[in-house]
Amino acid sequence: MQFNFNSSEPIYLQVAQQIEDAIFTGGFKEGEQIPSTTEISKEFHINPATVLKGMNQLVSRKLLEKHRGVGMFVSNGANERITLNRQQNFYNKYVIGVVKEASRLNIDEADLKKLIKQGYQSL
Amino acid sequence: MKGIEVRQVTKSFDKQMILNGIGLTIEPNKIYGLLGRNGAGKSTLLNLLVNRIPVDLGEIRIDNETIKDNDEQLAKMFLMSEVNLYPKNAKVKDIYKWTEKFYGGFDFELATNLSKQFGLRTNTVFNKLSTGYRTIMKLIVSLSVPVEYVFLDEPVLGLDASHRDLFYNALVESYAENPRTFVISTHLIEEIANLVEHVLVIDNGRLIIDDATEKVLSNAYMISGPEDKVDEYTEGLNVIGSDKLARIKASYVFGTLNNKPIPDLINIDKMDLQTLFVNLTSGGSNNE
Amino acid sequence: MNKTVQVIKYDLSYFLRLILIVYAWMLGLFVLLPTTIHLIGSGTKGVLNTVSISFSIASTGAVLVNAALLFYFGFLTYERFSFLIQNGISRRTGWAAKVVSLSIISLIATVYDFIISMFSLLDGDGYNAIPYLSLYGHFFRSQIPNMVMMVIVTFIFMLTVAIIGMVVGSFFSLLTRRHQKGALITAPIIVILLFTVLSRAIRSKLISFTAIENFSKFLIGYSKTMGNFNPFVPSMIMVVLIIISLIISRGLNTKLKIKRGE
Repeated sequence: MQFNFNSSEPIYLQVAQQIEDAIFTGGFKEGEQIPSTTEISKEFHINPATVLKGMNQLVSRKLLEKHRGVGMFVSNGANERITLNRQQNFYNKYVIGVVKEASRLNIDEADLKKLIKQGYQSL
Repeated sequence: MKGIEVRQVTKSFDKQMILNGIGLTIEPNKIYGLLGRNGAGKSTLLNLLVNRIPVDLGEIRIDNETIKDNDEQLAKMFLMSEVNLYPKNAKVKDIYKWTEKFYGGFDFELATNLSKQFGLRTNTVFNKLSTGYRTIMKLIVSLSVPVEYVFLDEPVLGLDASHRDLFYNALVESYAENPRTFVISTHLIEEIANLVEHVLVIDNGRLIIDDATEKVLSNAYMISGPEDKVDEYTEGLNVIGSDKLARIKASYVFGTLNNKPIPDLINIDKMDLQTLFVNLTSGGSNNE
Repeated sequence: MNKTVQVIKYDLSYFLRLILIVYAWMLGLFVLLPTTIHLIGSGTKGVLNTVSISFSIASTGAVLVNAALLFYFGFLTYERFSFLIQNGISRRTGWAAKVVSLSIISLIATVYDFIISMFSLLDGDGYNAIPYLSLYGHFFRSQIPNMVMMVIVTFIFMLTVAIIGMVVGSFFSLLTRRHQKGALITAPIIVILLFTVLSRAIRSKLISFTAIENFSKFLIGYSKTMGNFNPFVPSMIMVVLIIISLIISRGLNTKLKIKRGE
C-alpha cells in the first residue's frame, strides 16, 4: 500500500481511497486481513481515529468487514462492488473532463474518437 | 466535567501581556495541535496548565478541581518543555527512577526500549547529554509517565529526521495502546498535521482558532487565477492573505464561500494546515 | 501523603550524598593529609598520636560543618522546586517535605554532636570543652537532665539554622539572576556597614554598650537572680524564630515559579 497525502481532500477520505485502490489493484485480496489502524497510523503518522473513520467508511460501503477482536478483512465481492461503483462514476469523473479539454483544444468528436481508439491499441 | 478548563486566563511578564483572556477546554484522549508564532504565548499557556507559573487573572481547573497545591490533579499532567528542570548531576536512569517514585508509576519497559532505539545511554549524567539527547530523554519520560495529559512543547527540537520519525512512531504507538490527551506545540506543522484532531492557534496572546482539524481545513480555501477575477470572486469573503506572481494571484480564504458562480478561469483548492497557519498569523499582511 | 514521603526520600538521598562527599573531604584534609605529612616527615614514630589529634580536630570541626550543611540544605530551593514541579509535585508538598527532611537531618546532626560531646567528656576534657555545657551545664542539679536539655537545645539550634536557611534560600530563588548577583555583592557590604554604624553609635554613646551587653545576655538566658544561664530562654527564642521563619518560608514558597529562559 502506498499513501500520498498531498491531496487537499480530508485525510480520512484519502485513507479510504487508498485502501480501496489497494483492494482494486489486488494489493489486498478478498477475505484477507488488512493492516490494523495502529499499523497504518504508525506508518504514516496519521491519527488512529482518522484511520478508523476512513475504514468505517469502507465498512459502510461493504468493502471491509469488522471481525470482532481480530481486525478488518476485505469483504467477499468487494472488487465487484468497487468496479460497479467506478463504472457508474466513470462518466462524471473522466469523460466530462476529457471532452471539455478536447473542445478547448479544438479537437472535435471524430478526432477524439480516433485518439481513444489509438489509446486502446497501444494498451 | 472531565478535562481541563482554562477560564479567561491572563498573564503578563514585565508589564508585557503574553496571554490575554484565554478560554479553552482540553478533553480527554485527544491529540491537540497548539500552534502560534514565536512569542505568541504557547509555552506560557503550557506552563500555566501545570502550575509552573501562576495565572494573573482567571482560573485553570482539571476535572473540576483547582491545580493550585493539588498533587492529585498535578499528577495527571506532564509537560515536556524546552527548559530543563532536571537536576544537572543526575544520571538518566536516576531521573527515570525518581519520576517513577513521584508519579507513582513509570513504564520502564518502554523507556528502556526507546532508550535503546534512540541510542540514549542511561548511565550518562543529564548535563553531559547533547541538546538532541536531552530532548530525547525528555520525550522518553513523557511517553513513559502514567498521566492523562501529556503536553509537548517543541518535542522535536534538535532531533534529526530519523529520530523525529522514531519519535512520531513511538507517539502513535503509545497513543494507540493507551489513549490519552496529547497537546503538541511545534513549528514543524506538516509533520503533525495528520496527527492532530483538534487545532488551537494562538496569535498575540489570543486564541484565534479552537476547532476540529477537519472542520478548520474544510473552511480553508486557496482561490487562484487572474488577479481581477480572483479579487472579484473573493470580494466580501474572509481573505486572510494572498500571493501574487505577475497577474496571477492566489488569495487565501478562511470561512465559507458564498454561492456566487465560480468563474471559469478560477481554481479553488483546499489549503493545508501549514499554509492556513502562516496566513492567519502573519497579521493579515499581503505577501505581494 | 505518599508523595510527601517520596519527596522526603529524595531529599534525604540528596543530602546524605552531599554529607558523604563533604565528610570525605574533611577526612582527607584534616586526617589523611596531616598523617601523610607525619609519615613522610618522621616515619611511623608517634603517628598514632597525630591520627588521634587530627580525628579530634575533625570531629569537633564537624559540629560546625553540620550546621553549615544544614543551612545549605535549607537554602537549596530553585533546582529542587524545578524538579518537583516537573514531576507534578505541588509547592505545598515540596515545602512540607523539606521541613520534615530538615528536621530528620537536624536530629542526625544532634545525635552526632551528642556522641562527640560524650567522647570529649570521657577524655576528661570537662564541661568547658563543650560550648553548651560550659554555659548551661549547671542549670539542673544532676547530670542527666542537663544532658537531655543539651540534646533538645542542640536540636532546636540545628533546626533554626536549617529553617532560616530555607527562608533565605526561598527569598533568593525569587530574585532574577541579575538581582541574585546583586544581592551576593551587596549583602556583605550591608553587614560591614551595619557593624560600622553600630560601633560608631556605641563610640559616640548613642547606644550604650551595656544595653547591647544586657540584650545579648538576655538572648543567651543569663539571669542575675539565678546566677547562671537559663537554657529555656534561648530555646524559646529559637522556637519563636522557627515558627516565624516557617510562616515566611511557606509564604515565599507559594510564590515560587519557573523563571523564563533558564
